[in-house]
Amino acid sequence: MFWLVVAAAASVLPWYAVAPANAASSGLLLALGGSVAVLPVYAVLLALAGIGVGGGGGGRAAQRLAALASFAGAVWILVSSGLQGTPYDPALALTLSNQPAVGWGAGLTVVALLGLGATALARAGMMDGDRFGAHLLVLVCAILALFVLFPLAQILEAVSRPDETGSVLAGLAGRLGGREIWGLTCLVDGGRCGMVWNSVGLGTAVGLSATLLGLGASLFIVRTNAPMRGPLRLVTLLPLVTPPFVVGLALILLFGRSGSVTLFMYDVFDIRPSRWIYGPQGVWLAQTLGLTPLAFMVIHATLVSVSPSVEEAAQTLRAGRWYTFRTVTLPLIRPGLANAFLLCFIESLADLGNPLILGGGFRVLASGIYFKIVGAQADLGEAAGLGLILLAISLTVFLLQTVWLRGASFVTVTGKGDGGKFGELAPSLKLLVGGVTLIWGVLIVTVYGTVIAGSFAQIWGRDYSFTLTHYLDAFDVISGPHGLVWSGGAWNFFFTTMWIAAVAAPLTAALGLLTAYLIARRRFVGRGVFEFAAMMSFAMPGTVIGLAYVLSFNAPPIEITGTAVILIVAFISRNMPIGVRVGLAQFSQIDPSLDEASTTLGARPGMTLRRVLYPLMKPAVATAVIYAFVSSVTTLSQVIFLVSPRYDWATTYIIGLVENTNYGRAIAYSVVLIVLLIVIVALLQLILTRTEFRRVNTKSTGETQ
Amino acid sequence: MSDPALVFDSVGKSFGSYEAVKGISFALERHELVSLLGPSGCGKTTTLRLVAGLEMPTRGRILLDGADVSTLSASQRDIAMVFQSYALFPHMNVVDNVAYGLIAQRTGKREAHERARAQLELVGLAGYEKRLPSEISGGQQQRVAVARALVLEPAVLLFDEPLSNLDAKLRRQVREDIRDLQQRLGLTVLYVTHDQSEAMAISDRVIIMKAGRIEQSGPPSSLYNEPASAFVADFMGDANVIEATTIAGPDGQSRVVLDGLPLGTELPAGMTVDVMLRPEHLRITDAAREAIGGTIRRASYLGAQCEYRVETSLGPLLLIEQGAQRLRSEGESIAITIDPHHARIIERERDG
Repeated sequence: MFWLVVAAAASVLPWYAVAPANAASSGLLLALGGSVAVLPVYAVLLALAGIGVGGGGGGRAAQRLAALASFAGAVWILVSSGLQGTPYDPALALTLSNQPAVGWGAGLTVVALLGLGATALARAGMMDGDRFGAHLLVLVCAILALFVLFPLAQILEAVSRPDETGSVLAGLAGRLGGREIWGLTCLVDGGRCGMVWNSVGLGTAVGLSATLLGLGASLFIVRTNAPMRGPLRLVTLLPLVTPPFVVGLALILLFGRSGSVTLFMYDVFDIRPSRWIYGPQGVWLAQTLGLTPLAFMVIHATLVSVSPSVEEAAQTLRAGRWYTFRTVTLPLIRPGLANAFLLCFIESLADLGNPLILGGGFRVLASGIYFKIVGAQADLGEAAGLGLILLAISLTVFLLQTVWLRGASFVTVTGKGDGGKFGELAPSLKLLVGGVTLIWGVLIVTVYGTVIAGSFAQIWGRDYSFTLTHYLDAFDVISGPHGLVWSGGAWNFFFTTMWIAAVAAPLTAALGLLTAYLIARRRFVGRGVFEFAAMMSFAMPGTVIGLAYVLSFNAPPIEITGTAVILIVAFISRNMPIGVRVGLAQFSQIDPSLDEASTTLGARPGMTLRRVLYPLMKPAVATAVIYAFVSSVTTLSQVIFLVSPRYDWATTYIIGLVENTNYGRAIAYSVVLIVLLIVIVALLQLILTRTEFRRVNTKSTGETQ
Repeated sequence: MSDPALVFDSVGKSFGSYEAVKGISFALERHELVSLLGPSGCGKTTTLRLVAGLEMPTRGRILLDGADVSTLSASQRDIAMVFQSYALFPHMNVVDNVAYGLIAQRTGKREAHERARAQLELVGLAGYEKRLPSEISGGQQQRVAVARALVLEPAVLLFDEPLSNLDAKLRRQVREDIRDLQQRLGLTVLYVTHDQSEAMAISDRVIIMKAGRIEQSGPPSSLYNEPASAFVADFMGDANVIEATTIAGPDGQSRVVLDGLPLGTELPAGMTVDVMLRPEHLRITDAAREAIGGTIRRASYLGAQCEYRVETSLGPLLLIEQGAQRLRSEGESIAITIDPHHARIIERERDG
């Protein structure tokens, strides 16, 4: 009933985003005027109203039909103008293929139709007739379809367009098979290799080195009693709030042609400055430093969940420390290691900033896409081709990760009541772990030291005298005649970044956690597919999302290019999987009989979610919100194609400064961003997890047989 | 006479291709405490969850107070459930936990708290209102869970192995409390357990389930004394089950002969049967005639009784001697007699 009222309200709003010439603007009038685009929608709505007023009558079959009709109506609104995305021409008559983009009226009608469909599905017996669950499922599915699957389809469409000669095959071959993509000349005569090999090689190298460093650091923190473990833990978290390319920037300041280390080597050892840092080795170093914390977190979590009693058992069976580590500990954390490697691989593939500023002539798929869009050789089709390949690699690895690692976790095998403490590491291993961690720690400290020092130096490499110029350039505030004036050059980008990220973060977290709720706590047909689809966008590199959005949303039916909405939507669909993952982990900690108890006490799902699950989910909520916020603020690859002069992003602004070799200001800006993020994260953590509850028992009941 | 409180009419539940409950029917009269008893995997918990509405039947009808509730969700059914893990909300204090169901059903907050307090008093927890569940003992948590269910005055109260998280001493105390409460308030209760002594101690009737079906139901005494199958005999206490064949006796009545000991039966001759003998119905005798000879292999002294595992020509037998002063030694040869009235002879099940 509610949704019918919404639809009725929508019918008097302007249907399209721009009023079509020579036609009515509201949906109702358009329908009465015989618009082919709108008429079927109202036919469906009237039919549904008939069923709805009849008190949800008709059997389950009728309700299924009603659901189908509602969804068909919603889809019709979006696709009636065709998927090619032809811009609206006001000079021509309003026809099916010449429609303006969806406006408030049409948009709200889509929502109402989806709501009606969800209601009908619930009445048809889905999720045991629970409307709340059905609505949630339809909402998430609609978002995934519209903002993940539809853009992906657009990439496919762009790749498979016929070329100039009209041949589809030749077009495909040109976009997917070129020498700059697959070439192997680097093996023969020192030429350049194709971007695919570069990306895969780099990803593998970064994955390996980050995993090894992460393993070393985890062992150091969990299994040794060396001093400095506390501060080290904090240091490991630093890169998470750092835009990834800042590490690259610091490397330039250290090892670039006029870098401090380079000049020092020149002065002392007479080694000529060179551009050696530019190229795969530089990108590798930057990404390794940037991604090790990720590997660390994954491995650390696995390592602490290994029950000490298993190792104690090994030792009572006369296994030595080194033997125990090799035959018990290492195999137990192997899934964690594999996971860390694959995650770092995916992140390395997706990284745009470091290849951009450190790559030199070394081009990977992500930077290739960038140059195909903004470079002199701009070609959206070829960019789409690269995007498709990048996506294919990324998704393959992601599939590998889900299929291969599912159920490969051994950590819960042991019974309850494990006590004991971790055994000591073998002395040789201890030394190794300490050494690795030390090198890494020194590098991180050097990098961040350089960043901070660089932001206060006049001109890095030439004039190291202290100055605040860079900060003032970016963030000056003067008091003018009408109060404060934000006169610094960076304020504008800064405010935009903050408010958009602040809007996107809670939405992202909410959607991710609710999706996790559906996956963890509800049974419905196709749940496995749903879970995969929800997690999939995690494997979509930011550049690919950006590219797909450019292809999808700059023409009807949905025109949001250049608005804040496109940025928010991009963040939501890219970062949602983290919310899902965090949510799933948290749900597995909450005894399902708590939900069931609430239900048997007469609470509807909404009340159960609000009064029982939400309070217990607070840590996960905090994590999801914080992650969504931080990753939105620090991302470059996702926003670089989506920003507009009106809605520019902090990271794109900084990259612009780097490209103009204005390192001082770029770094000053980065420092402000990092410090601010740390403060915000700390605040959010404080606010969102104010109350923590001790759990009475997380033991599950005698489960369903 | 009014409708039964709960009726199961050939209710089945499948999970994919696995049929957990295979079309069972039973009824629960008002003010009756009925236990569902069976080994794990027999479908008893699924049956309970079907009553609660936490699972929806794939076939059959469930009637609550005469009304068909088969398609209603748990929140719409007039039931309440006490969970194995108690499922107390860890972030709410005791009184909020108990008032939760009332508030979910739109009772005013003040009234809900008043009734919750009264209920807590009834289960002996006055003064604990403001504690968090983590701040009270396991037994107290259990009583909070009961109070939370009772306060809704449900048509049927469900218990899912409520004692399994308590230690052995407390278990006996709590089950008596539950029985006492049920009789005092005239509650209708369906109680799931896998512990036969628990089921026998508190139930008006016991329903024994096996592999998704009802194997037998009735008052505890009739299940114990007249088990319909070897499974029931074995599950309700200890039993010696001996395979035998019926033969025609001289007087025309058929009989089975165990090691020379004849036992009469109504079954026709030439049939493979199970002879079920309770260990306490076997007697050690001095007479060698009409007795089974055997050797004690294992002797255990349990205070009130002595337990012997005896090697005989019929196979190993368990024998209980009550009130014995002295434990016989292992290796001792004894003669065993059987009281024919206590031997139960039924046709052997094909699926064994």
